Amino acid sequence: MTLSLRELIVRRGHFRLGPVSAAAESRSLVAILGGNGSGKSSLLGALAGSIRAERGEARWRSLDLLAAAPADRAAHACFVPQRPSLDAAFTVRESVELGRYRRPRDPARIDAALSECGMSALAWRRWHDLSEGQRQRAALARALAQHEPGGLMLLDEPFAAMDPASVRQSLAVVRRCVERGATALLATHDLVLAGAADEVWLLRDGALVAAGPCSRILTPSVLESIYGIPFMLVEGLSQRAVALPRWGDDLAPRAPSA
Amino acid sequence: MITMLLLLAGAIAARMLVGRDADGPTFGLPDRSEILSFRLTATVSALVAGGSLGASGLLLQTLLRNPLASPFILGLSAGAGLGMSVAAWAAMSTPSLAWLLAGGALLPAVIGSLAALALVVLIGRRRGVLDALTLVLAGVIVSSLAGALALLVQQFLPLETRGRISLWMLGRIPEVADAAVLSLSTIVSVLSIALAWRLARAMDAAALSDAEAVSVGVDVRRLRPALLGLSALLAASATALCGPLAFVGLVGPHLARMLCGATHRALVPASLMAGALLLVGADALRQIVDAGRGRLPIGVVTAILGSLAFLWLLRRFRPVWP
Repeated sequence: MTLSLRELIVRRGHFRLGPVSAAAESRSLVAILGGNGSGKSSLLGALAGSIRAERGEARWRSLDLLAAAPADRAAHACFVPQRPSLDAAFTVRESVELGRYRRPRDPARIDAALSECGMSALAWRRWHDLSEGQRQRAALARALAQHEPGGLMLLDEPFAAMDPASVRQSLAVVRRCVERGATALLATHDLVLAGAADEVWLLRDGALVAAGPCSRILTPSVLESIYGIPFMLVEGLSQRAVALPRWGDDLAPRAPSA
Repeated sequence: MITMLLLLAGAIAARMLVGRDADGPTFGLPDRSEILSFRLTATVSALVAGGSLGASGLLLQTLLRNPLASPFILGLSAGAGLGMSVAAWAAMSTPSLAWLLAGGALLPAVIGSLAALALVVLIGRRRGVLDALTLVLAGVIVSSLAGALALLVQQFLPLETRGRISLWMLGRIPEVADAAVLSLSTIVSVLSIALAWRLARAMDAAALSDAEAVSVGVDVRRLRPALLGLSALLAASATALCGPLAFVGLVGPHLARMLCGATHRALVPASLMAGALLLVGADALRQIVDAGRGRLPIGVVTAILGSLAFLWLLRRFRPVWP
């Protein structure tokens, strides 16, 4: 396995994630699902080095992700948070160049990353002039500038503020990286997005309760046990049927008045 | 950058061409060489102290991700003043400690400055995170406390020493060189700024959130103490030379950002020049202002000009600050 987690425990205040044991292959997109506070961000934060793990092991190929120096980890793994943050005066291009902090400057890579994420036209716009969705696209472009083929991508709800067209474009960017050999962990609440993954890890209250292919995990019965609301299968949204919440009659829109 | 250089050159020329005697302001180069030497010393002192404060403010604003951070607001200048007052008292009570006052008491100033900053960071943490507003409030508390303690310590000093320190607390631009203080402050400032410039790319990446900075390869746990130490060194060296001066360290980096953008390879020298420009310009201005007897204290001029500039910055940039 390219990524392997063994008995990983992360503690943040009173919350404890784990012990988590799981593995992911190269060329795979893994969606991480779970309710609010289930431990998705803690897991990705521990792998990205921003949260200290209490115990356990996380290996990326031969690299010990938990003990690696920031420079070594940055050579193998890139990270996109849900809310990217940067000094207001930076331009989009300067923000993407930060992805090359530990690598030689490469203007062509920066141009390509901006173009792939649809940010070329906004390259000289300052950070404070961007919407939240545009900031997420800029953060994905920065990760792309840092990412080397075959690396690890840690994506913590990276598309949460994007419009549907941007989500589609950004997912295509991640999918292309996966086709070139990357392993991507994508934390999300979007079940349609999760349906586009190769595998799903399901977290509940800090425990990994299920892991496997979408066809086995994204079923109404499994999701109902996690979220506690009814789900139904919807055909035709993507290549496979997608389980989505079934809203009750109490949430039905008001009938138009005659 | 060229605009900043031209402005700084203009301020230096203005200070060298403007002076003041018993009758009021004088213009043009003086005939007497000693007066020229006074002006040169004052200009060099203002360049060193202003540049140090500008660079110290930039490091603090980057490190704390707080546009309101500055050595004066966060209590570094007051901490340096307390360190120097304690050193004066210790040297008076125990003659064997007279070495503490060597080099303008730079060492006690650095220790006081670092201690104040450590206290501010300790108080300013909320759930392990440095909160922007809490930090500023912590700075106000520490600054007031250090100022009060400095006054308390001065109560134990002879009247003459107390008067000298009180004048220093108002801020001053020395016209007669204390060679040891000026050269030591210059060396400390030049070395600190050179080190800060070497860390420019890391500071760029540190402008991201901690999690993102770590993910692109910044060793935040090493960078943070390095920047804290450098900012305290710079603030202490400026304070030892010219006393605690308000607003230069706050306004300088913002002026630099307006003219030179956000990346630190340009911002470090630009903040240095902006701080120097503000202090040399203020020193030139106070030569020609008639208010009461003699020249206005430099601390009064920087506080008035700086608060006006800050008000303007606040109105212009408030929507974009985090």
